[in-house]
Amino acid sequence: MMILDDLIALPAEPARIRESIARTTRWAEESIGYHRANQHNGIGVDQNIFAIIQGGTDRTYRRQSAEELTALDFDGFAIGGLSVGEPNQAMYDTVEWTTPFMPTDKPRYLMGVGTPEDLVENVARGVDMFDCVMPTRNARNGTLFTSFGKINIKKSTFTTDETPIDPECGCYTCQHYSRSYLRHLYRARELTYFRLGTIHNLYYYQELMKGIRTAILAGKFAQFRREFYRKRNENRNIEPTAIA
Amino acid sequence: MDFHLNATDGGARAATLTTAHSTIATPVFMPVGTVGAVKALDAIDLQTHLEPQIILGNTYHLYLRPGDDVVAQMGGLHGFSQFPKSFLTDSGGFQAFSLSDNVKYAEDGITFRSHIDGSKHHFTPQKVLDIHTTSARIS
Repeated sequence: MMILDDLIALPAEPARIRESIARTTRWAEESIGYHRANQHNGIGVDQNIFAIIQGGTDRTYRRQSAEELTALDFDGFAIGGLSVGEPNQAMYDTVEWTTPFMPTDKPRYLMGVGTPEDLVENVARGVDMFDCVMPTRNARNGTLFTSFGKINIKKSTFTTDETPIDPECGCYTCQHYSRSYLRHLYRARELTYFRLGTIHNLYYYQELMKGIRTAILAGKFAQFRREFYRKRNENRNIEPTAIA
Repeated sequence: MDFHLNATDGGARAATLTTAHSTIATPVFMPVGTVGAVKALDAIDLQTHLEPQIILGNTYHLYLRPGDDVVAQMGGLHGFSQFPKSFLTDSGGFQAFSLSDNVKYAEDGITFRSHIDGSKHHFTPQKVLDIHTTSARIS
């Protein structure tokens, strides 16, 4: 469970960032004290408590917030306040500046992130856990993820396309249904489309994470990362119309 | 919760996280199940087709509707939703920030209006943890 934090919109004035950090730390102190006392009384014994590092996209403030919060006895730590409209590189830099000040023996969670590229880039920077509405929301809007980039199922090029969303995908949807059928369901606003599209996109995200983990365990993450981008770029040249 | 680092490769980490409800291999992506369901799917779809070990829930949403006390009465979040693996429950700080057009930050917590019916609510750090533990428990 995540504690209450003071989240700010970006860009933010330094005074507001300082206020957010101070308040987040004070609330974290109150939260951890309250939770440990509760556990002592048999409440929330199995529940884990995470604090949320703030500090905008500023290196010094992120370090300060990370140091203040990681001094407290939380089960894990999150990086919050990102993925709120800042440029991608600002997010990557902020994560890169923050993870060195997070414990190596506790989970690190980047909240609200992100695209497949964001996941690969932030794993490279030491993040363990992610969440995002992107795979589910995009599915409902007709955007489906594949190993060679995104496709938009609405496109007329799929009208009589017998192939699955991603020929390399092992998901339930790709095992049973064609792009043509899914495009038809989407255009007809059939509710079944939402389920089938959601299963595919979440499966894609799960497989991506499995691939990343396998590569890390084999000491081949750098290779995985290169291959991940190569596949996307290669396809961009061959079949540009398929990329949304 | 047990956190075991299996390997590192440059900055990247692979770990195993063991909670009361599941064993989670990281890096992990957690599907978002805000109100106790991943949109368009049910718990059996999840278990059959995706097998996630952890999904997100949001206590801001569950508190406003159907109420954390109702969730507790109906078997807690696990029993209510029939998803047996882990839930990571978010606090609602972000939702109050993004969904409420009228959120006030004070020293002891935040005051906001419900995006559902406009009713006024006050969250303190303690109140948020109470909602988390109530939602998870079977009453």
